[in-house]
Amino acid sequence: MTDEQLMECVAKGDLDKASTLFERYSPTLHNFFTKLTYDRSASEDLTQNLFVRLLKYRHTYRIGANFRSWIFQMARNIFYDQAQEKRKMPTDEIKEYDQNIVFEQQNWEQKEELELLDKALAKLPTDQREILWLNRYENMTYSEIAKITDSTESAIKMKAHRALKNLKEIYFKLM
Amino acid sequence: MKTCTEIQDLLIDFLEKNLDTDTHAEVQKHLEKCEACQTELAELQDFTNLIPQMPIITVPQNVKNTFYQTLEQEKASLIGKPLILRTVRWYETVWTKAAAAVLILALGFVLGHFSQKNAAGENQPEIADLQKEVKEMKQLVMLQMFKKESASERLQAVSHTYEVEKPDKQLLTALIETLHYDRNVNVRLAAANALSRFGNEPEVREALMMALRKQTEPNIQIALIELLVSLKETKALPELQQIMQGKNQPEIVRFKAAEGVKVLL
Repeated sequence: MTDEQLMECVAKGDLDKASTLFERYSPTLHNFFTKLTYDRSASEDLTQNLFVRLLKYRHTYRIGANFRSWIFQMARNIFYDQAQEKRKMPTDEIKEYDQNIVFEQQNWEQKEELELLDKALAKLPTDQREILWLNRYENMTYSEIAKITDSTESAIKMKAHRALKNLKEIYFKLM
Repeated sequence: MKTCTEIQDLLIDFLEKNLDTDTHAEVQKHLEKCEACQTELAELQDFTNLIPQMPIITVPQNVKNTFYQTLEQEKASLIGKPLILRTVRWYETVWTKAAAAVLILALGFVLGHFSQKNAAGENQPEIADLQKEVKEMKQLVMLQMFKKESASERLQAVSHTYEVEKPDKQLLTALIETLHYDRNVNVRLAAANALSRFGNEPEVREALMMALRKQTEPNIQIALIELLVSLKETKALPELQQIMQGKNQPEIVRFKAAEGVKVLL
């Protein structure tokens, strides 16, 4: 079953189908939130809230709408609502970098490079980091990101390119 | 003619194939004879290839538990039986009250002795006894919750086991039985995850492998494969290989099994 079919079932009251969506999407969204916050407990809360919201607001899903875009839109709303509550500007850089968040107990071939990359990523402004992550990690097209962020394709493309250039510059400076 | 800086500004678009034919050809031509820009391109390519390799963080158990609890509650309210929760709460208070009554009695008993024997300094073993009793009482309430009618209660019972550091036979048996026989998928899934904490116990590994043979729900199969792989249980290899080749298995399960075999071999 496609994500859209599953969500249609959920919206119509077959709630068990939500567990498949949870298994499919919770890792993606949890990692998205981790990259937005670089804060373990904050991203756990956000992931939890997101999927509780999926259940509670299932009626707001428009049948046929792209599920991935819909859930990422909801994820962004939750994140920016919460950031506003904390009076934290979304463009704030990450002040305290918690390296262990990703790399504990792991043994990766390119561990050093990836650790460095993660550090560089934390130094990007949140809005750039977000777009870069969706584009380069989640492999979303500029037009899909534009839809999710309520922007235009050309604006997103410009932002994504700037983010990539910045990130590369920071990365090689850290090296 | 474009300068190197101008060319380098176009490299991301070049890699993404966003340029019009003429400009693309111009960049291509420049690259063929400019070593500096070639290096820049290679660097950019390596760098962009690195990003998708960032390690993924797994979703913590407490997040999963909360989701499945909310799911069961939503389901209960959908059938128009919000009463279930209230009725259960009533049972629960009976249990809590019973537990509290026994505790108060025991406390009074010990305190009585305590004031008498204080001078003699013999109270230590009795406090230990009391602590033991409290623990047993808690466990009794927990074991009772595994038998509840509503799935969200049983899920709660499973998540309470996270408070236990060293499980005894009874608790393990309750969890294993839940994993095998609970009629709710989500409760079985939660039990599998809860059991993984006790992966050092041979009977737990045995139970997880048996579950892998018996369970047909893809969600559970996937979770079990992940658990057995993270426990490095090589005895699961034959079963995994069988799943890998099983024609009736969903593609995602076969894929997970193949992944697991790769790690374990």
